[in-house]
Parts: sequence; C-alpha cells; structure tokens
Amino acid sequence: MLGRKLRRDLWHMRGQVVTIALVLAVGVAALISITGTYRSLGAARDEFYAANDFPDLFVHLERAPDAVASRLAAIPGVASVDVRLVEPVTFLIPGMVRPASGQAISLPGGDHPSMHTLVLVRGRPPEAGRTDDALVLARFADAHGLEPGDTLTVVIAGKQLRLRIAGIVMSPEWVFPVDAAGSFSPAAVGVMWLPRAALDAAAGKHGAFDDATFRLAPGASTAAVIEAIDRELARWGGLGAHDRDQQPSHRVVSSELAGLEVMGSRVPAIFLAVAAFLLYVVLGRMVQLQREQIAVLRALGFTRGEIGRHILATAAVIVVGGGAIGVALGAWLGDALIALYREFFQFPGLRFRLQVDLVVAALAVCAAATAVGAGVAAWRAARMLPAEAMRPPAPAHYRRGILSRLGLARLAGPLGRMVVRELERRPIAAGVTVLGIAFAAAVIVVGRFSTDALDDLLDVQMMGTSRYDVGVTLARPVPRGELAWFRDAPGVLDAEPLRVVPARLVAGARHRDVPLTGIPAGARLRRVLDGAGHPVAVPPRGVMLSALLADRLGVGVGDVLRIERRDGDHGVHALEVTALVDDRLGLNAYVDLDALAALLGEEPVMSMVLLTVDPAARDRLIAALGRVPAVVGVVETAAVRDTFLAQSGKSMTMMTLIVSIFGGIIAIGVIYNTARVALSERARSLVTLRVLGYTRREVATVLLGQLAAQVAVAAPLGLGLGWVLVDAMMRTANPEDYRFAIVVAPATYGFATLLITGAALATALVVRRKLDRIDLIAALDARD
Amino acid sequence: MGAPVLTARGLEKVYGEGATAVRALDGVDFDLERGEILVLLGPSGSGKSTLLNVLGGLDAPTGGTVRYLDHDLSRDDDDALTRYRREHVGFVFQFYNLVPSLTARENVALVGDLVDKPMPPEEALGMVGLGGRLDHFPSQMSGGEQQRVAIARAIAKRPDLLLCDEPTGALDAKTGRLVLEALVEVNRRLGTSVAVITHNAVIADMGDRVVQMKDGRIAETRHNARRRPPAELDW
Ligand SMILES: Nc1ncnc2c1ncn2[C@@H]1O[C@H](COP(=O)(O)OP(=O)(O)O)[C@@H](O)[C@H]1O
Ligand SMILES: [Mg+2]
Repeated sequence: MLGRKLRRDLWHMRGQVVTIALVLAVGVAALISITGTYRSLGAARDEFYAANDFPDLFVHLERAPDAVASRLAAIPGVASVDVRLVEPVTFLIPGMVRPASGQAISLPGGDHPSMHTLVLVRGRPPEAGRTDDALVLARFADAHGLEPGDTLTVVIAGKQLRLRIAGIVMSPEWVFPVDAAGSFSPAAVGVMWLPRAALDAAAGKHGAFDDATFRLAPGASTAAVIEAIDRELARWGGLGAHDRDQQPSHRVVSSELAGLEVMGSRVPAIFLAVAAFLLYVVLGRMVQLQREQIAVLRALGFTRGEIGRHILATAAVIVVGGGAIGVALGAWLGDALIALYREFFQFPGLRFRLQVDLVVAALAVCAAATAVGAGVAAWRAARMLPAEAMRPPAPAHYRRGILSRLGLARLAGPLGRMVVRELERRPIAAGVTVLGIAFAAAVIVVGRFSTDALDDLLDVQMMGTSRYDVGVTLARPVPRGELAWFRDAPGVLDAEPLRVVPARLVAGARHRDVPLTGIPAGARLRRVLDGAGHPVAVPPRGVMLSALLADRLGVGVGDVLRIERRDGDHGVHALEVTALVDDRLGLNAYVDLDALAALLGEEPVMSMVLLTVDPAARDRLIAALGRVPAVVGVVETAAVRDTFLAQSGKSMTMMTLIVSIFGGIIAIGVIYNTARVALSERARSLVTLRVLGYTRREVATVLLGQLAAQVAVAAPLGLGLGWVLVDAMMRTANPEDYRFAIVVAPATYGFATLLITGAALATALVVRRKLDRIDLIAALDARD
Repeated sequence: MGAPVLTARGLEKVYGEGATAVRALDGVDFDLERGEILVLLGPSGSGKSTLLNVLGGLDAPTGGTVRYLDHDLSRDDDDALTRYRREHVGFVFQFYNLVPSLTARENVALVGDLVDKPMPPEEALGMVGLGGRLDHFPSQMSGGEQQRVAIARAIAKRPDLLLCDEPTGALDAKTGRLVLEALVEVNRRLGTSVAVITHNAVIADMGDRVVQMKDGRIAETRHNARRRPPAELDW
C-alpha cells in the first residue's frame, strides 16, 4: 500500500521530482564529463609517454663520437641512452609561400631502425637498408595532405634530397610542433625521421651524434645526472641537459593541461557541491510538506521505521533516476569534449574514459546530501505526535519583524504585508532559498569566468605586449645595425630589435631556465604590461623579473642572480634584480637591450626582429623573408592568436556552454521548487483571499512577490559569491605559462542575472497556472 | 420580509461520472429572503456545503439556475463570480481561514481594498466584540476569537449576504454562542441576509426560517414564530 502511495506521490510531485533529479543530474554530469575529460587527457598523455619511451632528459651538442655514448650510459642514475642526429631541415612543399622548416631525426637501431619512440599511424616502417624511406609527423603530414608513398623534397645541410614517405607517425616529443619562436604551428614546423645511415650521409656526421635522450633509473637525482651529463659533454659542445619541463612539446602539453585544471577539476567540484546543497534543501522541504500525511500514517499504526524507509525510497528514486541521467549525460558530453580536444592534443589513445571513481564520488555526494536532507525532515515528521494530524491546524506563529517595524509592511498594503511577514517568519528558510538561488547565479559566473579570463589574456595581455604583426627569428644574433635592412624592406612600417639569450637563473640552491629578454629602451612593439594591463618600463640596469618567477626563485629587489648562459657560450654573469612586474604571460626576465650587451660583453646584437607591416604587402614580405638565409622563423601575431583561439577557445567555449546550461538548470530547479513549496504551504491563505473576492492576479502577486523579493536579493548576492568563488579558485591554481587575471566581464554578470530572472519568470508562469487551477473548495476543506 | 435576494431553481450538482457519480444536489428550489436569518440543517453529506458554495459563487452548478436579484449566476465565468463574491458575499467557514501572517486588524483590512466603502476594521471587530484585540495575530487568539475575526472580515465589506458553513463546528457551546451572537448583531445592525449551516438542531431556533436537507434535496422548510437569541440556546 505504501508502495502505491509512493508511486502516486512521485507522480503528483512530478514537477518537483524531475527538477530535483535534473539538478542532481547536472551536478553528476559536470563532474563526470569535464573532470573526466581533463583526466582522460592526462591519462592519454601518460600512456603515450610510457608506451613510447618519452625520455626524462634531453641534451643537444655540437658533435661527439659514438664512443661517448657508452660513457653517458655509465653515468649513475641513467637507465638508458639513445644517441642520434637531429638536423635542421627545410621542406620544399609545392605551393607553400614560405618553405616549412623543422628537424630531421635519426631513428635508433642502425641498419634495423627501431620505432619504439614512435606510433605508426599509417603506412609502414622504413625498409632495412633503404636510405630514402622517411617517416613524417602526422600533424605536419595532415596539414599538407601528405600520404605514405608520396615523394618529399627536403634540404639538409645545403643538400637537396628526394625521399619517399614510408609512414605517418606520432611522437611523444612532438605532440605540439613548436617553432623557433616557441609558438605552436602544425603546418610550418615539419618533423621527419630517417634511418641513421641516411642522415649520416646527408649531414656528413659519420660516426658521431649531436643529440641524446635519457631515461632515468628509478630514484635517480635529476640534478645530479644533468650535472654529470653536462660535465661529460662539455668538451663536445654540450648545450646543457634539461628535463621534460624544458622540452618544448611537453611544456605546451603541460601548460595546456594546467590551464584546463581550473575548469577541469574545480568548476565541476563547485557544481556538484552546489547541487548537493540544493538537493539537501529542496528534499527537506518536500518532506516537510508531507508532514500531515506522515502524521496520519503514524496514526494508522505505521512505525517510524516504515515511514522513514518510505521517504528514503522516494529520495532513492530521485537519486537513482538523476544519477543515471547524470552518468549518461556526462559520458555523452565527455565524448563530445574529447572529440574537440582530439584536434589539439594528438595522443594515440585519446578517448573519453568514464572514471569509475568520479561516478562513485558524484553519486555518493548526491546520495549523502539526499539522505541527510530527506532524513532530517523525515525524522522530524515522524517524531510529530499522530494526534496533531487530527486537530485543525494551529495558525503558524507570526510576529512583527524588523521589516514591519521599519514601516515597510504598512507601505505595502495587506498583500505586501503577507509577503513581508512570510519572509520574516522564517528568515532561515527564506535565507536558505536566497542562498540557493544565489549559488545558481554564482555557478553561472564561475562557469563563464574562464572565457572572460581567456579573452582578457588574449586581448589585453597577448595583444598588448606583442604589438608587432610579424616576429622574425634569426639563425644567430646579428649586429643591431642590420635593423636598417628590415626597416627598408618593402611593406615594413616599423622594426624593432629583440635579444633573447637562453640562460639559467640561479639563486642559491634554486634555479630556473628562463631566457633573458633584451628589450630596447622605449620599445613600442614588445612591451611589458603589469597585471592591470599598464605598460611598465624595463629598468636601465639590472633585471626585471616576473613576480611569480621571483617567488619561485625566492628573491626580491636588490638580490643578485647568477646567470649561466645556455646558448653554447658557457659564460657566467651576475645580475641584480632591480624590479618586479606582475605580468601574466610566462615567467620572464627582462633586461634593457644595451645593458644586456654590456653584461655579456658583446656588441649590441639582436636575435629577433619585430615588424609592423602594411597589410597589402604582407604576403610578399613574408615570402621574401623566408628566402633570407639568416631567417629561421617568421611568425604572424594574428596567426598565433587565431591558433590559440581555435584550439583552446573552441573547447573552452564548449565547456562554458555546458556550464551555462547546467547553471540554468540548477537555477530553474531551485526556483521552481521554492515556488512550489511556497504554493503548497500557503495554498490555504491564498484560497481564502480568492474566497474574499481577490482576483487570481492579485493573489498571484502574494506568492510571486515573495519569489521576486528572494530573487532580487539573491541575484546580486550570487554575482558577488561568483566572484569570491572565482577568486578562491584562482588563488589555488596558477599555471606558469599564463596567469589569469580575476576578471569577470560585465556581460557575464548580465548573463547570469538574465538566466536567473528567466528561470524565475518561467517558474512564475507555471506557478501562476497552478494557482489559477487550484480547487477553492477542496483547499478550504483540506486542513492544510 | 421583502423579495428574495437569492433564488435557486432546479439546482443540480453532480460530482464525477457514470457509476461513481455523486448527486450532491438533486433538484433544489431555494430562496433567501432579504434580511432574514436562515438555518440550513441536515445530516453530513446531505449537500449543505455544496448548496452554500454554489450560492456564494465558489462553485458552479451542473444544472438549474441561481439568481442573485435579477442576475443569473449560473451563467457567470470565473471573473464574474469573483466580482460577485467581492461585491456581495461574505463567507465564514468552520476552520476560520484567517491569514496567519496578518493581525486581526489586518485580516479585516484585507477586504478594505476590495470595495468602495468598507467598514473600518475597528468598527467591524467592535461589532463582534473584539475591539480590544486589534493587533493580535491569529496564533495569539482562541478559536472563538479567530472565528469572530473571520466574521468581522466577512462583514467589513458590508456584504448583502453572509454565508456561514458550520461556523461553530469547531467551538465549544460557550464560545459558539458568542459567535452566533455576532452573526445576529450583524444581521440586526446591517440588515445582512444570513445563511448558517449546522448539523446542530438546537441552533435552528435562532433563525427566521429553517431548511432541512436530505440526500441533496430539501426535505422540509419551516418558519420560526420567534427567533431565540443565541444566549438562550444550549447544547
Ligand atoms: N469535490 C467533491 N467530489 C466528489 N464528491 C463530493 C465533492 N464534494 C462533495 N461531494 C459529495 O457531495 C455530497 C454532499 O457533500 P456536502 O455538500 O459537503 O455535504 P454536507 O456539507 O451536507 O456535509 C457528499 O456525498 C459528498 O461526498
Ligand atoms: Mg459540509
């Protein structure tokens, strides 16, 4: 019999049941899909790295005889060494404005090339003994439509070679092809692998290697091994070994993942917490409404245990239903998100993985919130003496509260007074409702924040610091006098020098490998901006550090850093920290260009030239620059921004959309349930008004006025709360490559307000309809 | 007595359909005269409340006609019925149905917004003997007091009809008499036509006329030669 009552109750309260289940479902789905995506990316990367022996340490050198390899292998802590040739290569692709540059890498294994570091996507491994079989990086091949069997013309060490593409591959070292200027450009950066013999012949480095990678033994000290490698290779022109943190592709991968961390792990957690809180509140109220019925059941002789189980069964239906929807929705969205990321992160095993622990955690949190919310209310109801149900209800206790005493109630007239008194009578209930609606608004703000921050980062920071159209990277530093040549090139409007010196910054026991960026006094094209987006001048002497870098090094203004050059010149210098800047992009060390030359004891030189160009002449200029031998890289700022937006932006937009929709559902869930509960609780008073002769419209204002008052308080509170959550979130997460400002765009506040108001209006319509259809006589006869 | 204010002819009210249909009113002819006190008697389930609700415009009949003076209520839509209730009818129910969040004075003032010349709440409450409890909330009053507030609220708009469904049903005899006296007082001072439902035959003596209902029909109508003041009634 109770089973039948359960089914009828659920049907009767279907609006509430469905909205509550949906709130729960979106909490679960947010965690499963977004955090699941974030984790799937990490797992795919780790598997890729493990399966294809991604090295722990890397070193490039001038040239060393193969025999040195065994000395490297003997270094304590080194588990294995691969020595190889890595040579600059130019790809002559028909139809390309500027030839793509990149690297040709020798495969390990001599005559029988080993592919253990690569994943073959299409085609076949190189044939033993053939010297013209090449493997090409999938990203580059896809960007140019290259397929196995195609021929490929390249230039290595000045010699033109015709090769045959045997296979298309992925490599953990090249998840992101990064060019000389450090930006990600799949079409412009080519990577190919050749059998050792073929590259030996082309590069003219028989019996020698110029690059090595290492796997460390478990427990080995990275720093100690690096030191030993550097000692060993000092006489062979070693450029300094480094770990994965300095590996260009890995850097991008990890900073992308770090950038996702906030959205990926914190936002869903906040969502779930909010959903759980609302579940607790709403279910508690729903049970509260059944108070009388529970008392009647008790009077009939049902035990508290039976009634408690009955109520928990109601709750269980919601948890199971909502949970199932949430898991299904989460898995579906996770698949969609991963599909977006697949373009960006090329990991062979990238697929959405339903994380059992997330599912369990999400369901457990919801079940706990449900059990506690329903349980507390059920326990209270069951404690009520059954006789109470038999008596006419005692009028609820009202008194004049602060608002009434302020005269607000008098102003409002009797109907307004009902609203004010209701809010005053149960300030906690009203407060909890306000908090619930506020949380819904806050969640929307949190969800959209990432997009706001990204926009800020791109528009204010990236565009504000890099005001040049084209960045030209030079093969080796040239005297600043050469600037005149660039300035006079057709189409160039303005040109500015930049000097980047790879270096290790050492402060006591701590160090960071951060290049010194030499910026000329009065620079216009490459500026330094503080966190607020205001330009900051580079001090005429000493070094200005990113505040975060200074923090990582444990230094402040006045401290002196030891500078170890890492560009082949092993000079060591001392440099005083003369300023800090709270910049947002990367960890940087800025030095005045002239001061840098003085420090290094060299003529003023530049390693990059920054240009603003006439748009009409741009393509021709870029093609011309590509033909200059001294130029190794040409990057358009707009392309960098577009790539960034196309990649990070697309997935971010998708996540933001999901979060916004979820926030809207939560808002509707809370507001609808609040209004429904208010309607049930006050049906009798409202019907009395109708009997007295008040119109439907007038009566509706009492109920909806209360709702409106709560929404009016909740909306601004929610926006503030959103900001606080964003702030808390960002404080605990700060990727090194870019630091989001805590900016919430006015549009986000507007959007959140609009969504909440929309949810309130939709609810108002539904409640108004219910109110209109209320049966006057039945409501009067009912005792409450 | 003058012409009837309310006239019902062949009134029918059927709940449900087919085999489970309940004929709550089964051909009722009924008049309420101007200025009279009428008592509706009858066993539980005989259709008293249904009749009163139809007369007061809370419910629509499934057959027959109801006229207020020369206005046909049975053809009214919800808005017109709301207007009718607002302008002409006061209700009192067994459970007082006060708005718990408003004080006695404010509960009465509620109707002040509905009509042109309402009675000041103080006057209405004075008429039912509650002049001293103006600012109490329902939870601070006894059942009898709450019921008298309900009466004051019903009369504050100077209705032509006062329809009371078991107004003393939840009260003891002593408090019940106070409530009935309030009704008589209203009838005397304002000339309001009053209909009172009760299943308590003793109360019938306070009315000008007594209508006895049974199974959805009027079984008997009788005139009392003399109305007995509620103070004389005992049960
Ligand atoms: N909403 C309803 N639905 C079905 N039957 C009803 C409804 N309201 C009243 N009835 C039935 O109509 C009959 C008359 O009821 P009512 O007018 O309330 O009687 P009384 O007030 O004399 O006790 C009863 O049999 C009752 O069960
Ligand atoms: Mg009745």
